[in-house]
Amino acid sequence: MARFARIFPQIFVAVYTGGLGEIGHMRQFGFWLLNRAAFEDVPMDKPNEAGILLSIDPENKAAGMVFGYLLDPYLEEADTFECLSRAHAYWLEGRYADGILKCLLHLEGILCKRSRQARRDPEFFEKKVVPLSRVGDRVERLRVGHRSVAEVVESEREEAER
Amino acid sequence: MWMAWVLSGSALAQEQTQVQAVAENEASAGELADGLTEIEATFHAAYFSAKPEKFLVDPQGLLSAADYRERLGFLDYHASDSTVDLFVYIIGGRQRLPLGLSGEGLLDQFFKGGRPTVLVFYYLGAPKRATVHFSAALAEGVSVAERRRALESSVMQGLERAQAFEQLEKFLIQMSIRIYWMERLIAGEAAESDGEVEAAEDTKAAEELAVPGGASGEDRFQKIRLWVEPHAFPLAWFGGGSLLVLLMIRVRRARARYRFPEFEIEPRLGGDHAAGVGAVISFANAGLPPASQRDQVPEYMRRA
Repeated sequence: MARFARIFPQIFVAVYTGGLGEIGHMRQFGFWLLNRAAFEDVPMDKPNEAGILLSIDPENKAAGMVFGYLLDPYLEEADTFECLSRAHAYWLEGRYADGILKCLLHLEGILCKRSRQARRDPEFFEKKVVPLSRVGDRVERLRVGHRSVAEVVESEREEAER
Repeated sequence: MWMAWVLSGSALAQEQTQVQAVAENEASAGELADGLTEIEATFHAAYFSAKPEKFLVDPQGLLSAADYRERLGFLDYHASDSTVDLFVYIIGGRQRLPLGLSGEGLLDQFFKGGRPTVLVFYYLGAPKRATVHFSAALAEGVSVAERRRALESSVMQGLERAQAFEQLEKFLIQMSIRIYWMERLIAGEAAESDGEVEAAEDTKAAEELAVPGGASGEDRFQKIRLWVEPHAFPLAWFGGGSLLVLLMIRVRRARARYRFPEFEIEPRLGGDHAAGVGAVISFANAGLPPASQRDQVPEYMRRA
């Protein structure tokens, strides 16, 4: 994990192992923990937005992976599923450490690739997360579009009649 | 019937050694001595007047032309592969050397100062009577016992065959192997244990027999070395350059840092830091592989 933090200076990885407490669902638990937890051994300049949280529940035999807003454009649910899949065989045998290692190694590969892609074409990733305020009212834009097309058709028809 | 090995004491004193095989008991030796005839005088000059031009000396034509060529080829090959020359004098099985002539005398007269040399007087059809003489350089580096074993094992190899030519062939192959190990001993590279020596002998003998006149492991190594030597400089450059490039790539990878452009992202689902719910996997059951968990949809959306 230290190596991970060295290779990717902006982000950090945290691993939680244990029961889920009152929150019975792994997805909800990961979402809640990454938003609410304070990671003591993570530098202050790394907010939770830059975090990747791997949660493992040995009692219910389930694991989940969530990530902060910083990685929103770069990671997809399928990527995190691939990482967890790499660890599946190890976790089945109770080899949690080996599984975590495999999972993080695969994640490292994905992030290296995405980082290189982002350096070459940052717009591609930016488009994925354009804020709604910048996009505007989509319905309004649709209406304007329809209206303008209707006006063009009408004017063409009038010209043809003359 | 018993076998005795007599070492010449004078050879040690002269830094040259004669190892003589006497394979008969006293009675039979006497009988044999009675039946021996000296090599005809007409051949003395051809045998002993000068240093032989070829490694195989057979002025009497005791070997057939084909056998002679084959054995000479082997001795030439040995000379090309070894630092020790092996000269073989072919003498009739019922013949003996002229009185007053000895291997040491020949070595002193014709082979002094040249490459280390081994002289063999081989009596065709009677390998037991073979005598071997080592030049001073070899005699210094190899013990009497080792030289005795070399002759002994060569004779034993020869006696395994019935035909005179085959006996000579086996004798020379074994002698060549023994000379090879003597070289190694002198160079300080020989294997310590007899077991290793024997095993290596077997290997080399197998190679020699499998490919008559062909290339042995040593020969192949020589060929590679001969090819590599002229190209050593460019090869060294290429190897060094490749190593340097690999090292640079490794260092660069180790020092590489990956960064991500940061974009303004609107919080979703009331999450201040994260909204991606990510994937979940269950490992409760080995019969439920990750592939069957890929499409993660709520239960209420599944078909009954």
